[in-house]
Amino acid sequence: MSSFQQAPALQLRALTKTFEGKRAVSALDLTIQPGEFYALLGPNGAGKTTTLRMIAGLLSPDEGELSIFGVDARQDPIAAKRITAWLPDEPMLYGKLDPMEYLEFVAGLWGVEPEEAMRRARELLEVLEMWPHRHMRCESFSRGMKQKVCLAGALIHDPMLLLLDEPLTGLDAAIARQVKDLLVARVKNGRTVILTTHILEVAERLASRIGIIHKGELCAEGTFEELKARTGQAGQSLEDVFLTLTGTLEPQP
Amino acid sequence: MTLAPGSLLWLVRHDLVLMWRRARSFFGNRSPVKIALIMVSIFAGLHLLAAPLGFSIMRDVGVGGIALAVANGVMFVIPWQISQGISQSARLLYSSGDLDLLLSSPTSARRIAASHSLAMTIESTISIGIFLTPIANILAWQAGVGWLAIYVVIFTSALLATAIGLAMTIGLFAIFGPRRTHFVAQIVSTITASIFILGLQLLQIIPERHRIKIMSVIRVPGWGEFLDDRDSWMWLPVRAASGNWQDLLLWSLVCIAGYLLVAVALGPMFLRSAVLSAGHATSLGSANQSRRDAAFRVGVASAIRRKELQLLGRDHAAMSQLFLQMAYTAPISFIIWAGGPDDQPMAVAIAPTVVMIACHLSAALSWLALSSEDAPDLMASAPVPRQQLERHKLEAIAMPLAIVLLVPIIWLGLYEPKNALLTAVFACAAAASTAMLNVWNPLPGRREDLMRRHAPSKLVALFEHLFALCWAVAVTSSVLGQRGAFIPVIPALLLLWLARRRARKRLVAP
Repeated sequence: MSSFQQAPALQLRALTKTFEGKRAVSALDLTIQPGEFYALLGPNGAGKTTTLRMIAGLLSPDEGELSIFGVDARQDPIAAKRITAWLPDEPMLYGKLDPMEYLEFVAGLWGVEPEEAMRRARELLEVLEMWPHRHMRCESFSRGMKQKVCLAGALIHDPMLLLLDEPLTGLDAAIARQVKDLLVARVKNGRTVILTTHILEVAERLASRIGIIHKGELCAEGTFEELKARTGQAGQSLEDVFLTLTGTLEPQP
Repeated sequence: MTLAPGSLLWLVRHDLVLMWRRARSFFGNRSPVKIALIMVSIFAGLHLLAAPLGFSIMRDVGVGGIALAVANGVMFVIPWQISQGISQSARLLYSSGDLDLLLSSPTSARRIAASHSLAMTIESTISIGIFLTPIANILAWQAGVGWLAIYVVIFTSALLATAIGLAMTIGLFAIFGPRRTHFVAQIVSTITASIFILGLQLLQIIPERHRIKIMSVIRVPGWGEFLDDRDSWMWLPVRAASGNWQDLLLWSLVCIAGYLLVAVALGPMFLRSAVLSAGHATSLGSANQSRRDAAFRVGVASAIRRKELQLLGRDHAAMSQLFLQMAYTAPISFIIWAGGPDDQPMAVAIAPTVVMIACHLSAALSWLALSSEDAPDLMASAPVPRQQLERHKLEAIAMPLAIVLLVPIIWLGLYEPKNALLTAVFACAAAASTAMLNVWNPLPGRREDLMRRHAPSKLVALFEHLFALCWAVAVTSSVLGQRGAFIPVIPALLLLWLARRRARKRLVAP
């Protein structure tokens, strides 16, 4: 683990992905340090999800380098996946399993020791207020409950890098708050979180650094203050900064 | 014609549009013209297959015997249609979305029930009609146009059967409640569909003296004569199918009355059941709670195997469909047994059936495990190589497959050990063939589309059937001790090679 800590949590060099002649991600360079909460923003179709899916090992890049805590994810995807977790916007669950069975399965896939997995499952379900529902089949859950079970599954192996694609979509305020608190607690414990979101307020309040991706390229990156300074506009919201940087809104005179 | 929004016909049209979309997706979303051409080709092909059957019936039993043949058909078709009605009604009860929308609208409960059951009737009519109407056409050609009345009888009996299915589902809901009805309905539906086939098989299995006893009980004075009396009401659908217009009218009236009675009397109850079933808790109860709270178990392999077996065990719809498939395959044994000489080995009848069941069951189970994965992203993001995941999934499905196949093989082994061993070897080869076919040519889909899994590729379906045929012929030749027993193995291996080659081509394609 100590060698992991010295390397960047994520390093992308000229990462490229093309679908049917159209570049979804174009020579993307990105470095994220351990313990960062990084928000990747961009308009629909900008290449955010494609980037995260390549990092998670669900898509194979056409070109470029991809390393996670120093592990070359293209050369050794299994080692990279072992320290990574992926949470898509649509809950990936088995309706016929209950949360405990689901967590037992996910823990088995990541090779977590049973006793440790059981302890973490209980802890996560309690934090997410799902413990009373642990023996109900997931098919009967609301979207928010399903997303919480998936988040528990993503955290059961205590990943060093957590990738979340629109994790708060469709969640009510209370559940969204629980998820955000859990993510912040992860970062405080030295873990790295990368998320995409359309809720700019979430990025503004939680992220230590924000990357704005547009047409497959990283068009701006930095803290919220740095991004504001870049647009040269004081007192702007992240929404204004985002719209200006993606060319959707002209800078105000 | 403009239909009044919210009217019965307007609702039926809505259901038919959805049905048409499903049918189009089954045909790979081809244009309506192409689908029509495919359907005409299939229909023509079925006529070519039905013609020898129709001619042989005419030759063997003559015009007078057709009624008996049609009566047998009715005994088979009506339970099947009722079964369709039960499974469709249960599916509708537990579906959300479309029904939720209708329930939240000011449309009357009776109208919703009537429209849905009419749409189910049309679906049932089409699915059974495509196989029966070619026989009806051949009979009409040979024995008189009156037999075209079979078309009307298929529709009207589907109407009545759907209504019975709907009523039975409501009854099951009242008895078993929202939590168990879906499961129980699947079992009742499967048993209902196969009752005639299973009954015939049972009569074949039981010893002669018991069979005579049963037949004598059935033929108690009065009841037996009633069954034989072709003027009795039991023969009404057969007389209607033969084109007797009075009986056709009477049968149609009976069916329509049954449909209306159920829609009007039970429609509100059906929708109340739908409301009760919505969002009902599916708690697994407290029986397993202490065990599951105690400790997790270890290992990737066991995690995958356990998950697959849990999903399979809880997928009642898939289980009942697989059981039905086996129930329909098993009669092959009895046909071979009944048709062969007295001194033929028992394995000649049993082995090919076991091999065919192995082939088809393995294909269905491996599709469920490999292609209908509910969380493909989770599996892809796990630190486990794909080949290892697939291997453990196949290990999981091997367990139920082995349980199903070992029963007849062990039974055969008690009488013909050598043939039992041959059957086991060929069954393994057959199961492995279709499992590998699914590994190499995955057809992604949802679990509930098990019986429609070949929609994206009819070639894979053809391969599955050819595998079943080749291995069944091979095992039959082997148990008969024929010298050329290995010959059918060659096309099976060739098919495997082709399936592997096709997979490679697909992988390297841009």
